Amino acid sequence: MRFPENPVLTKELRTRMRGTRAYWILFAYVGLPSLIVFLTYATYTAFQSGNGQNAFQLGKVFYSTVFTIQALLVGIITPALTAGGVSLEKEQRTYDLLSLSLLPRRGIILGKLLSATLFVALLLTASLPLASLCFLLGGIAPSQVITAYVLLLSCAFLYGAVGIAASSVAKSTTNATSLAYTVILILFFCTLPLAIAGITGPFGGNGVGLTALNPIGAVSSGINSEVYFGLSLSPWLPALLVNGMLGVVLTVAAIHRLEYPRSDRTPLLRTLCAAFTLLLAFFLYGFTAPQAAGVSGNSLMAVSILTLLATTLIAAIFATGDGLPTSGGLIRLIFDPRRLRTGDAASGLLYGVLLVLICGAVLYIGTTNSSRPASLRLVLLSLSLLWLLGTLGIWFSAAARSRWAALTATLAAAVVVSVGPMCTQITVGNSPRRPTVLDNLLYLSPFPAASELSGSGSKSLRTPALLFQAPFRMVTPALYGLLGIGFLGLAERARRASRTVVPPAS
Amino acid sequence: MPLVELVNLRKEYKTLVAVKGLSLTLEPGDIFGFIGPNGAGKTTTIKMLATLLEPTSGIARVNGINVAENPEAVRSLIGYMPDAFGVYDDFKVWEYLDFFAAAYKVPKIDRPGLIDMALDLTTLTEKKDAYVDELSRGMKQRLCLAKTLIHDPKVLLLDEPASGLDPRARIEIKELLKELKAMGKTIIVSSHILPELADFCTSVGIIERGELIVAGPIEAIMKQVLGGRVLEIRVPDIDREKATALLPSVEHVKSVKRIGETLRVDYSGTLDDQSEVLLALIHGGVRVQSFAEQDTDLEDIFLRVTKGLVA
Repeated sequence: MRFPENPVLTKELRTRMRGTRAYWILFAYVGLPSLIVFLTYATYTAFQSGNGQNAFQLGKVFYSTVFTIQALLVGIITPALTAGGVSLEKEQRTYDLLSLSLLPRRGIILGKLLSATLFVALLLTASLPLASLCFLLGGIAPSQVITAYVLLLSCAFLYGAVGIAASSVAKSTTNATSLAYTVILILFFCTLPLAIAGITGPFGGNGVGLTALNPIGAVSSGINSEVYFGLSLSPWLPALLVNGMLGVVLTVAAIHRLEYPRSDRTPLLRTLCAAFTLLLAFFLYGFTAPQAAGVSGNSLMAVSILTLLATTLIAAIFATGDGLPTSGGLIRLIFDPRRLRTGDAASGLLYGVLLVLICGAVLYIGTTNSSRPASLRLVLLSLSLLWLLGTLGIWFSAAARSRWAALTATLAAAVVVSVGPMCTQITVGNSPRRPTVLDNLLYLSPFPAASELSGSGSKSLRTPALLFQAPFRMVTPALYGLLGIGFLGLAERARRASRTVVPPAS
Repeated sequence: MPLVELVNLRKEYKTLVAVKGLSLTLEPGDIFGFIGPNGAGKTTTIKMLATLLEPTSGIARVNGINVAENPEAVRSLIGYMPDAFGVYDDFKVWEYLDFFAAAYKVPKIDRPGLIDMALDLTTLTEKKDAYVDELSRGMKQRLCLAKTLIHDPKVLLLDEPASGLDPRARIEIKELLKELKAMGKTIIVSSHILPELADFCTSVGIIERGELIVAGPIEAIMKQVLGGRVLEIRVPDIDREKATALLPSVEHVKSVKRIGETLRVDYSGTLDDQSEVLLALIHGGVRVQSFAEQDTDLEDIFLRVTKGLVA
């Protein structure tokens, strides 16, 4: 079988190694860990005495040093290789010529991404001699080293995909680079707690999963195993699947952004996102949910926070867009299942419902019988939150007619609604807090409702000042439902207004 | 079937109409000069034909294929050279051409021959192994033209191919275009400088503020715009009044203007009729010092039809 030719890949590979830049990167990539390993060795030998019986300890130290530094370097280097992929072509005015050729857009994106990943693979290969020092000293199994390399490569693919997606979105390479690094930092710090928990041992008596998602965690993931809904897996597999899938979603999104004329990749993109949600729900609920039987409030709260966070992101990402379609009734635009294949904000709400139901199904099937009522209540609460934020996103989209403005505004509103009311509960000193009328704001936040999910619920937030004496988990969804209807009305008004603004064709 | 056909092509941006209902037809082998001041809509029109921009309304067809509906099919038929383009650093001349040949799916085995041919045509053979960023501007322009030809397109869309070049490089590009004309290519070439195009275009179109004001073969346009030819007559000072009074009564004379020492006559008659004007003057007792037909060129037409407005 002949491998299909990709001129962009050939070009990138050919020019990457020209000049001195690539060699400087290679030098720094191998030089920095070498220096630190040498310093580690010097420190270790200075404080240790003996005849080398404990050399395996040094082997372990070498291993974690070499791979932790590599993980950081991969995170720094890879996005820089791809973030200019598309935007730099546009800035150098080479993009028009390239996009006019018969080369499909996926060829351009994949060529750039693959060449960056291959360059990182070269860097990783160059570090092999350093890594093999661990074998000399012992304490590390070859499988651990291989796993660490595979995971670093999967991180490189993901970070490269983040870079190329940022490049296809941003107007300039500077913007693309800062966007890519911001996203990677968010990814890094969101997954860091899992990695730390994986390294230092399980916390709170619960199992830890997805430790290898973070590159630092990837280093220590060789020997443990993780349990998801009773299924025992090596840590590298979930990380590989999640990183790989997220990378694929971002790559397809980048191709979709570039396409002209837009060949509709929305169905593919939405199917991939649904598959990614399913995968993530399986792994995230897998290690948090088994204990969600109402016995352990901690894990139920963890599941609730994850679900509500995911719902917020789903609403902000999918139910926002560059304006709304001007023809057809708004209700039909939102609830017509045939419109799921379109990519606009209105159809995003129904798609979001689908994603939340996927999460709910995984949670319901995966948990024990006794915690199923709680998971159903959680799904209901998530759906109501989705309705609130989704309608808000649709309204913002209709009013601002800019995806980014609507997305930012929706996220900001979500933060204000969730966290703002909780601030009223802050007390200073030891004196007990007096109930005030402001306590009613708690109905707006999903968290008091989430804390009541297990049925028994904590009653600490219930004060005599509250208007309704019904539980939060019943009042909050009802309130969200009503507010959502209001936002839909506002969205329809904004849509009508935008219809009249369009200048008539002269 | 016309090779290129534009029907009521229109492009609107948010607050601006860049091209207003442009219609045009080109047959195989036509060389169409697209003239207009900067910002008139030339580049937008060419970009729409090149499948880089989607028309707001109207139809653009190349070889009968709708550009908006099937851009992929159109792309193999056209070669587009933008007015401003970049080249990849760290790339050699032959690699640059090989890259685009591969991007246009030219079989690997045919590429070396085609690259040599394109380099030969653009007289860049000796620069084959040079790095692209070492080339002069004129050479880069020729290299871009070589790249445009590498997949043997039927239609060439050249946007300001000679802008920013020194006179020698300009002449080289011009010669190259003549060669392409001889090869039977259909070319749409835009420029805001007229003499560049006058030599080799079979037809021209003048565009201003997004509207095609006139279009057609150069002679036909001259006739349409000027209503015929312009005669320059020089008479002594004392006879000038007499001649000015006499000329309008001569058949086919449309107007008479005094410019300095000469009289400028717009004449709509044929070449044979032209002598009647001289005869009438001499019979009227006017002493004629010189009598000649003025060389009208595109510049005159351009200045007459455009208003110096830019969209």
